[in-house]
Amino acid sequence: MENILLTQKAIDIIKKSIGVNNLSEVLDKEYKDISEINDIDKKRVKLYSNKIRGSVRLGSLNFLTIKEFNERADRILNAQLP
Amino acid sequence: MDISKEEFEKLKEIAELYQVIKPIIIYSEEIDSYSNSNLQVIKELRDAFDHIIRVITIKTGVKSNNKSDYTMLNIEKSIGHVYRAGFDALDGLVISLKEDILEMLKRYKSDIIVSIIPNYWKYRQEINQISITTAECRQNKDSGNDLKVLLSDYLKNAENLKNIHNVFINAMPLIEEKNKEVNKTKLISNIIKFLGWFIAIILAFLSIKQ
Repeated sequence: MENILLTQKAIDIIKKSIGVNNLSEVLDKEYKDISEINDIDKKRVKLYSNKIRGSVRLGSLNFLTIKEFNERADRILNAQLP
Repeated sequence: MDISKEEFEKLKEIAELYQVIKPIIIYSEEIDSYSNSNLQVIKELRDAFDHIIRVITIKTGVKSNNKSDYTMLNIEKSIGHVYRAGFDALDGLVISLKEDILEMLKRYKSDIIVSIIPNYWKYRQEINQISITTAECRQNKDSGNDLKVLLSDYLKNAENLKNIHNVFINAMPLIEEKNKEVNKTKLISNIIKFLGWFIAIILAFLSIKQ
């Protein structure tokens, strides 16, 4: 298979945006954390939902943000049965 | 591809672990009341994949790395993320099961449930204990504890909760029937009480009139 290559313009944009001197440094770069502090913004997902080609569930907002999940966990785990 | 025996064993460990974790993740998504995906699980799998790709990149010669422990370090990190995906999936599983039990029982008084499930108080106590353990596990899953032991204990808890969940599912038709019966008896008793008062008032009224 022929190699897929990024154009120089794309390389420059990415390097500048993520703060690396060389694209080969990216391999050991960690992905952005997803936590209550760096949570997913459902409003932004909704904005791009018709353009998402990946998961239908995620595109249709069928997920809880980390904050929502933690709130649900606290509520259910603390709830008492009759 | 040049793989040492040690690396091979670690790669085997991650593959075996994944055989346990993946069914839990799928089941956990399946029983979620709202069919929601769990972002934490997706995030952990993404990170596990990233570390494994780092290993493949070096091992296939796409890139080189001079650090001698680079491969082992990344395989171990990947294993850690697969464990955390498992813990997060089990969190979701326990929460969904308990939510379902709460939803099933919310309309009924405890005496009605006990009349059908004599062990109800024992189950209730077990569910409380599982809730406490789950909350603690959510706090401690990143600690230095033995992840295998922690996961194994957590799995036992989830299995136990699923067994209790099944007991409630099977008992629901009888609980509903008993509830209707008790409500009917209560209604008849209230009608008799009302009629009693009504007759007493009429008799009192007639006796005053005479």
